[in-house]
Amino acid sequence: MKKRFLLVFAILVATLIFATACGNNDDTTEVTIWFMGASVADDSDVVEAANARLAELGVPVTINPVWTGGWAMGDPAQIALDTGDSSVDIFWTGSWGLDFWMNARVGNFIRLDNPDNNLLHQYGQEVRAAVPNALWNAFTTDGPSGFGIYGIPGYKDYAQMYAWDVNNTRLAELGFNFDDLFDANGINYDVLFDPQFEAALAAAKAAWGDTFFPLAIEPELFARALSNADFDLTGLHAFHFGFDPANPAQPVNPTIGLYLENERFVAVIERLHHFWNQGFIDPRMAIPGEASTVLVETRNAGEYLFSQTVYAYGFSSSMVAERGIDVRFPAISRPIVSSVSAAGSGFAISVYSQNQEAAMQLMNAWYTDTQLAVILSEGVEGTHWQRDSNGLISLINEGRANFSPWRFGMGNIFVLEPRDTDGIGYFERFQAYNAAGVGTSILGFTFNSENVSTEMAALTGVVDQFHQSLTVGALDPSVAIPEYLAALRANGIDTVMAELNSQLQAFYAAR
Amino acid sequence: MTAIPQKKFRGNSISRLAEAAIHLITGSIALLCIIPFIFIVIIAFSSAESLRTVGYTFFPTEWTTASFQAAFDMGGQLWRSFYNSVVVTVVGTFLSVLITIMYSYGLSRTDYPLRKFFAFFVFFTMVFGGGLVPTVFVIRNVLGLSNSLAALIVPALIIPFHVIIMRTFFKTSVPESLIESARLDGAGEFRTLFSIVVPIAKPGIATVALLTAINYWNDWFLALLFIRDRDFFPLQYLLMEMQQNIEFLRRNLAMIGASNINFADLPGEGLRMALCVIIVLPIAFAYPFFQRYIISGLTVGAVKE
Repeated sequence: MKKRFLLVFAILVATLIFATACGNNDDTTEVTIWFMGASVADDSDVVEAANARLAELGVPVTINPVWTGGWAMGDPAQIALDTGDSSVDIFWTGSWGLDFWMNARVGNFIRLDNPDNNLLHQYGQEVRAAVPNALWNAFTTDGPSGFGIYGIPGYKDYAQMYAWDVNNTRLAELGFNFDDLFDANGINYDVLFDPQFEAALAAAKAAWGDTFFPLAIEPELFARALSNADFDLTGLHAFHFGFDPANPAQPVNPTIGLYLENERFVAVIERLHHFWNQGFIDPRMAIPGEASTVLVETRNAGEYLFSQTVYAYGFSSSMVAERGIDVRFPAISRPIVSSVSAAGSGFAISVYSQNQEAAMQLMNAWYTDTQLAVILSEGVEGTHWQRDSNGLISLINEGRANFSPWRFGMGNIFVLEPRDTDGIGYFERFQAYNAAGVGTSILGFTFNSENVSTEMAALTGVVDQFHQSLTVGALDPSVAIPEYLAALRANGIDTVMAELNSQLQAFYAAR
Repeated sequence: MTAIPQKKFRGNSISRLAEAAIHLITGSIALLCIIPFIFIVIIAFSSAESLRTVGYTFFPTEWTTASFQAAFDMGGQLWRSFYNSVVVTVVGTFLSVLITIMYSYGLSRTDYPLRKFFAFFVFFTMVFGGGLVPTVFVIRNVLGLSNSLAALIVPALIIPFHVIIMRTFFKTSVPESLIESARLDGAGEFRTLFSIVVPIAKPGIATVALLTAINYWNDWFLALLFIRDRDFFPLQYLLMEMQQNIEFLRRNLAMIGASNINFADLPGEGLRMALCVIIVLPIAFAYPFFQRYIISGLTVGAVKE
């Protein structure tokens, strides 16, 4: 009996030791990464394949993606950061989502090139080399650990170009020739004032009736593009960061002024008001909350003649496929590289992460290994995509219905393989497009609003009251501009402008 | 002998004109409440073409069930979220009402020595909230609740206002002599509470249960704070996420440019309204079942006997 008991006990102990030993072999670290803009319902196949690839590469990390929030992931992700959530290691961040500069400044992200713990040097030398310096500069800022790199740039279309979005199918139906109106290879800066442009709008209105609005413009963006201005880095949409359309590296003025005091902007607004009065612009574009939905539906349905966009490379082929019409994108400006476009997408490691070294290892592998990058961006071969006869990636609609990440927000897109809609040599052409981008004079500048936060809060209300209606032509500029200007002045726009220009001069001096 | 004409006694009644005016006012208020919902239903049944060309209207150019079809085509996620909402509402309401009854019954008993302390303990949280960061920290890091249905239930288990309602209800509706009789008959505290007090307090309990159920059903904020895994999304958060996506794009379209966005992923107006209808209907159906108790709950103590 005693022997039997000892035998059972020994077997139990041996089993326990074996199980423990097996457990110890699994010394991988799970890294949680929160993505932006994704439409993902089921990622189980993808995670399994990605982890298998990481194991093949010998990276001791497994990935746990979070897709919550979609385009609005910034809200829940910001709460996670503000409440010290240690369960997420890496966050998508950028100039227009989960605010990179603010979070780096307040210490929510770690400095990757910290002299005391240089993760980039220890684990990220390949990713450092894979991404151009211009992008690293956009993710270099001031933070609690000093001036340094606080995020890993997304490597995508960092050169952005204002462009017309022309429905050439309808233009041809009206009997107009695209080449008579636009220069496909040139800068189409003054087309708005061309009598032929107005004639085409009038013909469209006459042909397709009262409910057809031929000029589908994005509030704010259209007037900004047509008056050649960079993004307003204060976020107010009140300051005209103007540049020379022929040479974006050259500022129009050494200091930043107001849109409302810029002659070109006022001329554009006057022209738009003229078009508004003739019924060329959908009245719903002046309603906050309505414009984006109307614009999306109008363009997707091909129910427009002229629109505009911030052009991303490859956009034309995907739009032609999506809308089923002949869409053309003649340029309004040369491709530019701005602070906002260069920091348009990136990833940062949370200061609360318990797996910072593993996080850096994951980023290094993901940014440089084609197989891993394809799995995370396009999915699993046979389930989410297949190869066509040219060896290009052809998406499988059924599979992609449950897994459709925002491709341009998935790290380094240049390590991916081209899709059939991209064509062979896509990424080489894309690189050339990026290389043609000219940095604006304020590339690298960011605005810190801490000193003028009260004025900024008050001014936001004023801008909300006027700007959208004014920039779609709904308001009479001769009446609205003086009113708008007076309201801005009464709420401290001059104080903000002085602070902005002071920071800008310091930036120029430091550069 | 001639009959003496008697003036008809009208008691506390009001004139017909005043009655008509009151009906008109209350009817108008009722209409103001119901019209937005009717509008939502109409938009949900309007075609995308109608919404694009004539916008919101009571008389769309084309009626369709396409939005509901699209909602049902969301398949697993919709039903999963529906299931989550139902489980959270049913389990949460049951547990919350149970705890509220037990807590407030204790507070209502004058012979309970710590009642003042526990009354203050719950009242204090009504006046001074914990703040977002400490609350999230305690629930997520101390209690370890996140990415689970428990994270949607536990934080809302005790609502101080409901405790105070129930305590007042117990004090005004349950005679002390009844509790005394039960004790003399040999009933313990639990038996007294669940066999004697609770049946008497049904109207109050029903009122609190309805308020709690609505609170759980409508909640999206707890999901925003604690849920990352879509398997645990409640319906409200699913809708909220869609709405936030649209709102984010509205705010940032000028910044990022439309070209960066896969518009095919964005839900249309009709789909969002169809989801609203799907979300509202279950809780709307719950009202009739509670109505009888709620009316008695509201009128308890209104008439002196």
